[in-house]
Amino acid sequence: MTNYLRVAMIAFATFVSIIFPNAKATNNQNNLIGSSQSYKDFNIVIDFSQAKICDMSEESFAEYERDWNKDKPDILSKMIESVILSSKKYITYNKQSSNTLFIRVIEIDEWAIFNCDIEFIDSDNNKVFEVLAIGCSGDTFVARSLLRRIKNGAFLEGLEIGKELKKRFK
Amino acid sequence: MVFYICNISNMKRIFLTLFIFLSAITLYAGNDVEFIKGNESFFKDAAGEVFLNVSFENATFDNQMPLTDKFQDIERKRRIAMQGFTTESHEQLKKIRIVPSVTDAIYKITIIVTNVDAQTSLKWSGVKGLWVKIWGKIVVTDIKEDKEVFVAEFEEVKGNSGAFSPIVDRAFNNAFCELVKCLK
Repeated sequence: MTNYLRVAMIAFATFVSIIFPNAKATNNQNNLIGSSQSYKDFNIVIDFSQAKICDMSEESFAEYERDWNKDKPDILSKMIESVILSSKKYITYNKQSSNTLFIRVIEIDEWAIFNCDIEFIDSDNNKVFEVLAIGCSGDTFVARSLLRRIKNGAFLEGLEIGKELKKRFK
Repeated sequence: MVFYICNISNMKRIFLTLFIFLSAITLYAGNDVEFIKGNESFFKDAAGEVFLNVSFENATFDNQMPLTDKFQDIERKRRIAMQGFTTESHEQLKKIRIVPSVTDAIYKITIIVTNVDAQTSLKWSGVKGLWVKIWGKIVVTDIKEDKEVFVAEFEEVKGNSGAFSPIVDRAFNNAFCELVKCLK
């Protein structure tokens, strides 16, 4: 019987590898410049200046979703919280640190799928590394309000960013 | 029918047939890279520092319009393409190291993209995804001797954006990751 199970498992694994050919590649990229081993702490700055939220600029979106400005601090803190959560073993969040992690939000769609770039700048203003187009899976639960979905999406995106930091600082 | 499937000996046959069928699909999935000239096994044999350049100049979108008409942020797409290729080549081609400066490099890889296509796809779970396909040419030059050591054309190399995330940038990144896998 174990043989049948083994065959079944191999067949299933082959099937999955065909359905998800890029399963590994979806959790994107890293590249560029030197070692990150010497950095122990960092500060986080989240930049929405270039962001397209549901195909609108941040100002237009704030007019469309009246509560945006009220909820934005909460969204930012959710993202920061999850970045810290998924990278805390390797690097510490410290508001006073002169090493800065810039999170540039490029795009948020209606399913709260984020597209962000990150840039790690050290105390001497040198770019230590940069990762483009980090994305999360978003919050596809239709019954939630858009802002609620964005809040959850921010948390999920933070986890993805944390994973990238983990790869760097491990 | 149910009895036939539940029968242990039949089950073995069914699973084996399924396994062979799925393996055959994987094995015979065509290689999207067509070698033209030089050392065909360059990406297996070569070692050392390599400078990478990706060019979208004169590239079209779906052979219908200039790529810049479709994507205004073409410089960002170029950087994402470089990032995808670099990351994957560091993972897959262990002996090659892509460096940011041409002066430190032995070889120069130029990827000339001639056409790009993007399309939304409905995955098996009904979730909307996105594919980016790329066509073009890859030229590797020995910098010291100024000689082409590898030339190949690639077509319809596909990268997806991942489930639940129809983001073009990620699909771009993954298309260039796939290109490395085709070269390996």
